[in-house]
Amino acid sequence: MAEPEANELKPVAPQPVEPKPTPEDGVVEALSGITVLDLTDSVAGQFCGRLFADNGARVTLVENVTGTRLRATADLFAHLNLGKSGIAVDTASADGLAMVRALAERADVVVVDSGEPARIAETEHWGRIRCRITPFGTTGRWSGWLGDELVFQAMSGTMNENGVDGHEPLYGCGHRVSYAAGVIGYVECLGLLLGGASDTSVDVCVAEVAASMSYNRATQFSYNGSTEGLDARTTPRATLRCADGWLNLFISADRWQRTCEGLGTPELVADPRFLTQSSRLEHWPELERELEVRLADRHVVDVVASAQRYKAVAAACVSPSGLAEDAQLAARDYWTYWGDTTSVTRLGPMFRMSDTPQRSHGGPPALADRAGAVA
Amino acid sequence: MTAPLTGTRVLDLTSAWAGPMATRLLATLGADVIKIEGPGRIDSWRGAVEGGHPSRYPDGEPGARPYDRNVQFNTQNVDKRAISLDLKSPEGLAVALDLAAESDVVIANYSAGTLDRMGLGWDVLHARSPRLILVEMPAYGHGGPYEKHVALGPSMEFMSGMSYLVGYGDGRPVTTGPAYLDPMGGFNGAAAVLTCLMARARTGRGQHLELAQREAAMHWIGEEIVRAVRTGQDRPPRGNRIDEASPHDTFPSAGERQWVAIDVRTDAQFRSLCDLAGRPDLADRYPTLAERLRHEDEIHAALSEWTRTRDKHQVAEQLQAAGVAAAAVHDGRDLLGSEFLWARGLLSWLVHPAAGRHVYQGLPLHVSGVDLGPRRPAPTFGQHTDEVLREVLGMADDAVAALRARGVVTDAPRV
Repeated sequence: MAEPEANELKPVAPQPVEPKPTPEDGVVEALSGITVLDLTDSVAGQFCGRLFADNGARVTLVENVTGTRLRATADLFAHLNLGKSGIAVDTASADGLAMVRALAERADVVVVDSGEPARIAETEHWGRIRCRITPFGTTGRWSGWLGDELVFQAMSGTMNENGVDGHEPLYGCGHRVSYAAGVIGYVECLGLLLGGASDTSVDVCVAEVAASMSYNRATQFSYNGSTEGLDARTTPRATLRCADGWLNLFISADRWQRTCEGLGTPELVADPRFLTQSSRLEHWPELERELEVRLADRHVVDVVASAQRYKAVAAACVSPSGLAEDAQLAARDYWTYWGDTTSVTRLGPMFRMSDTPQRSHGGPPALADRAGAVA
Repeated sequence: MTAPLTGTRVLDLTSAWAGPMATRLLATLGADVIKIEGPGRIDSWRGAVEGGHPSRYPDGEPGARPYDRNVQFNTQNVDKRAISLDLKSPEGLAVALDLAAESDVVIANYSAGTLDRMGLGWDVLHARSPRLILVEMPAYGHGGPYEKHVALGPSMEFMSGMSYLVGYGDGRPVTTGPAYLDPMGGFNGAAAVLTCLMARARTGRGQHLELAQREAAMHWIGEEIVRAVRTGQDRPPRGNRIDEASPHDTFPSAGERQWVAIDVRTDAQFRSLCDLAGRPDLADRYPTLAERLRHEDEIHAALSEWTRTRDKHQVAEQLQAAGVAAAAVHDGRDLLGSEFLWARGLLSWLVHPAAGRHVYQGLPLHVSGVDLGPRRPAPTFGQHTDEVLREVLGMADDAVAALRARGVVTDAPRV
């Protein structure tokens, strides 16, 4: 296993195993009192566990003695496992399995993906709820398929219309479908907890999740036999180059005039090529060229500000590093940190609740150098 | 076992994709989702009242009521009830407040401040119903210089750091599909609502929940953002190519605009791929990842000669059987014919009263002992107005008729 990349990350020690159910400051967390065992080795599984941890559940990550493969990318491992405690166990050994079994007996939710722990969890009915997240399901001839984001996106229908006509379709970036699957697992588990379920299994298939996020194309084909790819001209969005960056516009029918006014291009409103939404879509490449010529010397921030004053849908392209300077995020006190220094950035909460706000529960668990004691 | 959210009522003020997808998730889990649409402000995914692009309708025909036949709305609003209600009228607002008082959740995806201006803000709702959960899904959140910015999926994706990471390496950012942040917002929205319901189970109180869609979406590329913020360096895209695997790309296959995606992670997998392609020499020349990364273009060109004349599905099946990750790039026809998706239960036949019998793409929810398949098609405009007002508010028939006479509720949208 590769060593985590050298960086300023300073993981804190594993969190206390017995958190106080009612914090001294009286702030209750949404999932206080819920116990989750995370036995996964995948982005989807560990993000599912992270969502529980963010909202106050006690989440224990169970790794093999050499650590989850996701530790090879330190930023990814940290992002997925903030706030969890951890143990390292050889689940192939009787002692290790007994250790995990003892934890599972007290767990509300057990999250698994593939392999022997998943089989045993189901066979022995671990936890009130067992959430199994796999790439292609557990039955059928696809269950043994291999794949990651590229393959999931290819099968989803989304990739077919992602990119620029005349080029190959693009899968996107990162592990977005796996994150989606983690959220779906979380949603289903919470639904079951609310409904008072016990001894219930959840089955999340990443490839199926990917397809569920596509733009209704299966039903569209059922409706009228049409499908849309990179050559489609039905979505009025444009990517335009300004002097110092890229601009995104979405010009729905009811926003045409205000968009032209906001961009300072009122002369285009009555251009016969662009009079109606259907004519605009038909002449979309020409429209993009006309706009780009007029915006080429303008700063993208100024264009966005002007367009937004007229309630036109406009946005500038921000890089990941550029988010650190984003004025909106700064105004909302978005960035937080973890660790015994302030050097490790943590993204702000996924959502904000007025009475049970998400709280930091520290960094990711350090890898124990031996099997940890049972909590 | 009944569906988990049976007995939970959601008042749905959302429109388009993200909000309706969140409420569709809740409906699939058993919640009673009541969608409110104004006579002059219908869900935008019903399309233009007079009809829009033919691709949105059965057989390309908008019909007499195009807003009831639009594929976008009809897919994203399965399992919901719908009422028409003019929220701009005092009577309509009063009915909405009464409905909210009988609901567990009110959810909207307007820009920040809009619900307050409508008279449906947190202070008003909470005073009447302390157990109510109010969910707002603005693009950029309350406060800050972008609070009032209008946004849709592609613009939020631009602002999230994601579009920067998608492209061909020429510097031009690419937004994912039509609006990828929308289904992301739907999933995140449902997660947020359920978290709040769990909190209420502990505290007995409702609360105000804000899901700033851009901020929630950023978590889905969290590792990239953390790394970039720490180092000050971004990783511009190289099309489908990545540094951790090669080949990792799409290859042309037989037919117009047909592709197969191939993802090789080990040297042994590359050997298997080359053997299948009848090019074992490639594996001899480029046995390691480092070598393959240095010669990506040559490898791509060589393998494309093999894939170009073959069916994308067959190539994918062959490669998977040989232990190599691969998949056909699916379009709508492929999705509809996908054995895999039918086996998973994602596709179902439904009969819609205005659109007819068609296949609908569902949600990937599977719980043992519970059938979470679709129970009813998407509602036509105002389909359940009388039913909901009678059942939920106990309104008498003549009171409903009076609302109808004054245009507070209608049976068709106003053009």
